[in-house]
Amino acid sequence: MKTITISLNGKEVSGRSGTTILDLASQVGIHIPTLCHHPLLKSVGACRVCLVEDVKTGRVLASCVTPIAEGMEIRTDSAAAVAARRGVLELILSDHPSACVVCSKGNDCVLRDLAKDHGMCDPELDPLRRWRPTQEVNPFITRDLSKCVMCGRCIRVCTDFEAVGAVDYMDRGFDSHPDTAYGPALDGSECTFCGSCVALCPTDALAERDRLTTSSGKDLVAGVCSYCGTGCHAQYELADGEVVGARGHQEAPLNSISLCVRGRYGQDALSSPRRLTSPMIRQGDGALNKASWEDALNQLAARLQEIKKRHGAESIGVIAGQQCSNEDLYLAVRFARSVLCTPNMDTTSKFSSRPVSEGIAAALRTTVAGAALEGVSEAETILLVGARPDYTHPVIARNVRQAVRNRGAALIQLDALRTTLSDFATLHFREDVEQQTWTLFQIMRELVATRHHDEEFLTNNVMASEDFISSLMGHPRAQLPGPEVKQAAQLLAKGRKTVFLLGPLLARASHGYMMTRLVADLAFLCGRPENLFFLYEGCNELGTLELGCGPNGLPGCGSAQDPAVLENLRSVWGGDVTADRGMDAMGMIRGAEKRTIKALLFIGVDPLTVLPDTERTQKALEAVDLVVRTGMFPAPDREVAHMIFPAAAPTETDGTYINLEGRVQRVSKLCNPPGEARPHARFLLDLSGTLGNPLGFVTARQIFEEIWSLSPALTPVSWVDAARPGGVRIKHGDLSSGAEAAGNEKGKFVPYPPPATFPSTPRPPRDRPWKVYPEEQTAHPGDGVLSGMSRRLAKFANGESVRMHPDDAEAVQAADGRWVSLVSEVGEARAVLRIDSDVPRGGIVAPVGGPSHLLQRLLPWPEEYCPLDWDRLFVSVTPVED
Amino acid sequence: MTQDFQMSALKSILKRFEPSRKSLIPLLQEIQTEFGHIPPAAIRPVAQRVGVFPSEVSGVISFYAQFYTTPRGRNVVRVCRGTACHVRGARTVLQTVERFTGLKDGQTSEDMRFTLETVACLGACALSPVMIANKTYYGKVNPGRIEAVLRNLK
Repeated sequence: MKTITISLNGKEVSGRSGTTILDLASQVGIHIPTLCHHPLLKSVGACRVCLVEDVKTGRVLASCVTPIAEGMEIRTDSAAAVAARRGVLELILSDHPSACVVCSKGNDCVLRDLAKDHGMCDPELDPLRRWRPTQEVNPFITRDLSKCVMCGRCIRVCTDFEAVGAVDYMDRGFDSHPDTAYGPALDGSECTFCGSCVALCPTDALAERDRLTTSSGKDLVAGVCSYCGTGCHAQYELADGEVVGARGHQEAPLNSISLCVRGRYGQDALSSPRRLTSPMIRQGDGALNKASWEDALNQLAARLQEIKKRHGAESIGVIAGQQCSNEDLYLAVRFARSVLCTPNMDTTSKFSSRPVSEGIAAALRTTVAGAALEGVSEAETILLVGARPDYTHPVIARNVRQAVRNRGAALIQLDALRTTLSDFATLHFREDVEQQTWTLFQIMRELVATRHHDEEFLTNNVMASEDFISSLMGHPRAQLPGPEVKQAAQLLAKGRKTVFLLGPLLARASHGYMMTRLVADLAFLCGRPENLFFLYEGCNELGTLELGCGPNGLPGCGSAQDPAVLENLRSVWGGDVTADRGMDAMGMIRGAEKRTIKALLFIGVDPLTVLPDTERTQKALEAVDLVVRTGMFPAPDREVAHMIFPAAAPTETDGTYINLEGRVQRVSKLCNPPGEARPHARFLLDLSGTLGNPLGFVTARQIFEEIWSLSPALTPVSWVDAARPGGVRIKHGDLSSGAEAAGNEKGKFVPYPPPATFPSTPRPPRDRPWKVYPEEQTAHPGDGVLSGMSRRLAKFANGESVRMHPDDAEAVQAADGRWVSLVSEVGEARAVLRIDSDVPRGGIVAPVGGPSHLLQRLLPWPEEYCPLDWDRLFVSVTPVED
Repeated sequence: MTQDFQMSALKSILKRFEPSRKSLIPLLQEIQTEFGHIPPAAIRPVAQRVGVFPSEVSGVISFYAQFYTTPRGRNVVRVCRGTACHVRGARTVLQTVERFTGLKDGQTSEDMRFTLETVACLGACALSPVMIANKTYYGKVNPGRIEAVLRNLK
């Protein structure tokens, strides 16, 4: 690169050729005012506020788009430059409403700042004003085009940064304005409501709707979003001790300025008036009454002791949720195994990730991907298997779109349904999960047959690689590949930077484990196992695995049966530690049905929103002597707990969370929990104390430090580092719970030979002919409890609708917009039907999560140790009266 | 014209153009020639074909005066409002057309017989006042002649 020297305000400065005058000036600390410029966006020179003068030629230049040239003599402060800039500002201000006093942009307004810096007020120009009505057509964004300065930041961030392209300039000349392809309603457009346009709008033309306060927040504090496993770094706006808004942060390694619709607008759930504020105890007549913490804890401790005495510790179970912090989870395990001395400890991850996390642990011998998620936006090929990041992990979907849109990456999608990412896909195998196993096998064979696989990687890093290759090539069921398989194999060829994203659908498929192993095999053939990511749904789902919150786990990198780990724990915890293999979550519910489980403690879980077959689960839980849960909200529908303890939100307590790529991120307490709500960890500590077994922790930091000191295998993570944007990544294998796989050929990956016969699609029973295709919803991630309490998200999601192909709808005599009843083997659910010709024939698309928890009512209990089998749910569909 | 028929006609047009951004304007022109306007339902398929976002296609359509997203009348009448025509009575010409058709500038009659437009200059100032009906120029028009012309347009 050539170096060019120019004179800038009389000083000789040099920069690389291609640098703009603005960038060079900011490098040497000279301030040039700007309006349309944003460091993350391509400069377009739309506003002309950054004008500077080249004294040599007398020309006035827009510094944000003019590259430096040899011999320039730039002055940012010459009379001509300042006059030109003031002239531009005068023109912009002339048709801008002088309504700063009542404008909610307040001190964040870039235009007002510029006017102030230039000592300008109402210009004397005759205004050509275009008053336009304020538009409020969606729950999140208010648009007031009379305040628009046509800087195009919203358009550029939407097109280039979010790669959504929902808005562009419409019309021409004085009429031109940013708009969607079909007019002002963002709802029907490609818009994902990420809100990045609102965040970057320099004026109040785009503003957040229905904020808790009309002003900008008083303080900005760092935190981590808890809506999904991505773990986006967010800056929370605080006013009067409440979170009133959320923003991304340019320094955040993963999400940068982006957040998704729930991260940005769903935070209003935290200050919902429905939050639980005091403990509740069920009375003899079934009513839930408020109680003091002391009374409730005493009562709970007494009941637990009584049950333990009469039925033994094994009659008690503890189930923790994926939104709990590491500290909560660690205490939950310690509480179960050493205070209650029961081995029945599990989390809800059983339902949302276990087959996949077990598959990954067995193949890679770790649960944590080696590469960082940022790499997704630089990938050359992206393979989505059972993954719909556009609905479950919107910020990762942004990375996928960036890769496709801005870098020409190829996207290969294996999904029975069309999703919003299908528009970006090079290849879309629209198949059911069973057929996908066959497709993956075919692609692998083709890779090897065309010698596009990474042979060297295979030989050096994969166990018994020759046997694996011969099991692939000598497979009796091999067929000639179709053109799509051939193309896929070319796109996955060695040398290309391929990323594999596995999604929550896979974890609920009956063949989820096999599929995971096959994708891992494919990753070995491509030489890219470090790029295999599983999109964990819960914000600390990986934490539940790393901390051994399972029937067979213990914190600190080991199974409960490992004597060395146990010895270490006994010395730290003191006294009794149960090492038996306990029941998993489903086992405990079965136990409840069989009356062997007498007490269940749910930490941060509302059982009826998570567990399948709501009817049966409710009956089972009603048979339990004591059901206790901690949570932020009352049950959306039916309450089964005898005692409820109000919990603090993640923003209301100190704690650490592990995101899906293994980043340990710390959240500090930003505000006080409402009423008497306490953190889950506090509840467990208080309960232990009441039970006469105080654990002695005062701060979250003490718990954190104990966790990370437990095993010498762990790289220590420091409390201070974990609070940085992006936190600290645990390294490959640090907390590996895949200990079963260890032992043979150390350090090598474990391939999975393709099965002799591939699974076939099950036939629907005659009386329930429609196959259910579950579809996650952006607005209602995970169990949908928190998002269901957000006023804005609730308005946005039409959670209750199911979709069918027009011909199928005709066959069941149901019409668009009418209610239908879905009856499965175990239950019934009702929803509004929508006609959609993109739905596969013979199928019905049903929402996951959401306020009615429709899917939970229909799903039968899984077999022992099996996933939820989302792919084997069949229903009958009949129209019902509205 | 049923929707299915339109879609198949649209698909055959799309196939004739290279899948690249530079095809966008010729492709839109071709669609307009075929359908008389650009049906909004065509925006997404066009965007997909040339590899841009639908909003960008809409932006281009709304930028150029030559593109229409609503159906146009069988007869398009354009009245010149240029300087020369203005001094020679363009206002009366426009009023006459408006009275006859019952339309305002930019409107299309419900029976699809007329679309009325005004233009800044037709470049035929020597003939002012000028109007165009479909592709024929009518110079030095007066109310009587205008009505005669319009009456003949069915």
